[in-house]
Amino acid sequence: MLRRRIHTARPLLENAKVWSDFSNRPKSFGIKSKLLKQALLEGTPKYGPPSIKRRSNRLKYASPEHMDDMFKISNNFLESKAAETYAEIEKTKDKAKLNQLLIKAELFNPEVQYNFQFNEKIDNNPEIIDFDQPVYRHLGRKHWESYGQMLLMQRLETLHVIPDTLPTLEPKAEINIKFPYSSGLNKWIEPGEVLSSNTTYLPPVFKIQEYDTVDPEKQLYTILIVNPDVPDLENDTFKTSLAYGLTNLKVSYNDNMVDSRKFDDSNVLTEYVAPTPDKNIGKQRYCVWVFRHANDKKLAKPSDLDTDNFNIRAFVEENGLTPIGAHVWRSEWDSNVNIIREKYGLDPVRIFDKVRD
Amino acid sequence: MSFLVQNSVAACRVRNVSGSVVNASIIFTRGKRTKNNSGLSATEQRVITQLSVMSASRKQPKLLKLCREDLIKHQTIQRSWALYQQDLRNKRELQLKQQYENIKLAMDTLKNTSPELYEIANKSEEGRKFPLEMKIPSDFPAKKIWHYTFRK
Amino acid sequence: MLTFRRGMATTAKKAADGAILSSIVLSRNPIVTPDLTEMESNYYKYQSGLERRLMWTFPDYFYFKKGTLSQNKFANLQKGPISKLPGVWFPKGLPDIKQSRERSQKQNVLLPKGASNEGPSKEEDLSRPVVPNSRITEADKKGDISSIERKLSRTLYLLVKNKGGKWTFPKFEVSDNSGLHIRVETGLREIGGEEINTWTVSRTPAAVMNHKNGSNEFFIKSHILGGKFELQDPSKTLVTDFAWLTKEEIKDLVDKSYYKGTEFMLSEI
Repeated sequence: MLRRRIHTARPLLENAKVWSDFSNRPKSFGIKSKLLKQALLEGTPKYGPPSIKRRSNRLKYASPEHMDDMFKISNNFLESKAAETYAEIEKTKDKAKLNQLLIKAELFNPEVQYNFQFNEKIDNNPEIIDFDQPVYRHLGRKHWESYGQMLLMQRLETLHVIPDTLPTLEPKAEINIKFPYSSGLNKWIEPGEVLSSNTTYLPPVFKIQEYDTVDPEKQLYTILIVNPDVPDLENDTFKTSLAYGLTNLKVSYNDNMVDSRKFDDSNVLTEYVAPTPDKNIGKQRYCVWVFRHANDKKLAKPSDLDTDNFNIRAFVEENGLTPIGAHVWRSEWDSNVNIIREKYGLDPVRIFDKVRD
Repeated sequence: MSFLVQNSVAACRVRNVSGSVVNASIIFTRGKRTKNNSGLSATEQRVITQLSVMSASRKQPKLLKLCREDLIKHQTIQRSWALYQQDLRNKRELQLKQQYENIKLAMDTLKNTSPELYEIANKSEEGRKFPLEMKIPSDFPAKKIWHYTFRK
Repeated sequence: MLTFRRGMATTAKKAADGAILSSIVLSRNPIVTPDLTEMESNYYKYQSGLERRLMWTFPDYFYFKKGTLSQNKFANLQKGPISKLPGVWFPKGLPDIKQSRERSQKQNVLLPKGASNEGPSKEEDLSRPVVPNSRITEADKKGDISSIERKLSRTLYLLVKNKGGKWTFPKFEVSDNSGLHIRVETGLREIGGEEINTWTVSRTPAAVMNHKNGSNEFFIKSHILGGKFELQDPSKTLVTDFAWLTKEEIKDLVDKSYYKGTEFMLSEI
């Protein structure tokens, strides 16, 4: 019987094993565990899927019918499509187009999908999720946009970080912050969380995850932490203080944790001042802003940086910085504040009253 | 149960009125439904059955939980199917476009070469009927595949 | 009314310079549904498995009235689930039965067959089992390309061979102003006999082909609905052979440039 011929117009490269031949491919495009890889590509073994750890659960598990047969056909189909894309890649010179094609060629690869979906994305292992590869950056961006980015924007808006500090933000890079382990809170901070003064008494580490195509060798970054809720009693208002400033930082796609190993004194605009809010002034917002430098230009340290009354908008304008990411946490007075003020050599806390003198 | 009791009551009445032994065949007819659990009439029971067919109560299967490998496999299958359908769609659209362009080209050529024929070809065909003899494909052919005799 | 002018069939004659030709793309529509590709058949199988696993329990009490013979037949045919027993270990997990269905597995509803397959089946026996006819016909087995009963799942097109040995769609020279569609219909009957039922899709030509000598060939689409194409005396019509062919077969038979000019009109199904 004559089979309907679908691919007559464009011959697919039927036996092109572009996904399975690892002689010339990054390791991150394959599943590390041999057992898992076999179970995924060659069908579930008799004893059950290896991703289920307990033997009794493996025994209980039943795959949907005809799944493995259909998967093989689908995988071959997608692989032959990827082979076409790779053939196109060899002819393409345009960089942006090339990036798109590199994503297209690997996006539907089941091994890439497995690696991305079931592995740690913030603390990524470059052998599994390698953000140097355009496809993982694409997947990372989609994952971030599906939740993290929306959460961040919502928190920035409800806490009025925008427009209280900078007019707005077009999020381009994912920023995560974490405080050192000794602070007792060993986790990535969710935007808007209220943290105790004990947690925040040491400077945080930042993770700047770029999803755009940038040149990591040349691109420089600046990080500022500002507190727009410092009471200004003379003018009966609030002023902004600069709590921490780092500049001329370099990060790569995978190694992008900004901690003390990444910079020295020359990068520090102003030393970290731990949040120690006065009593009865409510919660203070600590807004983290991350900027890209324009044209790989280094930022010269200004000699007259007024950290107590800091004008972030003017600073950004002067230095031609582009905000690409932000983060925020909140601090309020607790019984530990005085101890921290002592450590940093600051005045003891002021206690505000509801009734004016 | 209540049905039986009622019957026995009825039987008592019969006995009282006539004063003779009751005719048992009225009560114990073979095959006659003697039990009505719900105490509902037949039409009511029917409505309940029909409604219960449409309700999810106790009819839903267990949630399908896929292991990690199978989830990826399922996604791969669905993606490949979507791409496959997209290919078909693109091909069909391309063909339709070509057909449209060629009809246009043919009409333009006809206008230049023979305005009379162009006039005829461009006439409105309103009221023309679709032939009733045209069939849609079936899964298997009929006994007589083609009708060879045709007389006008 | 159609008018017939014998001796006007100029199928093989060299068309005069600048002449108008009218060709007919006569198609036989598929009689059976298209054959499924490997991908399609497997996908449908997989999806139907999923659907059976995720379907609501089949409400047999709705379809079969309690106490009837058909309900009894149906109930006897079903393989009931294994129920929970105290002290028994179930390696596949404890049975979870609701309305006599195992909820964690796909549901298999078996329908009683209407007829027994035993004994000889007679034409008049109304309960004889239904046996579908084969989708492959005698013409397919013999490889008879002039039969209209071949390749039931595909659209076939009528091609004719002229004296020069070239295969083309039947083409006719237009000498009067009765219309392109009239000319192809009369021409078709000149070369193929009167016993043919066709339906021309439109008066509008579907394509045009410019020949080197300045003549234009217009293509009119038409469907054959019944009757048969019978080759008339070749000495009069100059048509020596004809065939019902699929798109791929046409590609192998006709000139490259001719295929390129007509390919988009032909269906792949």
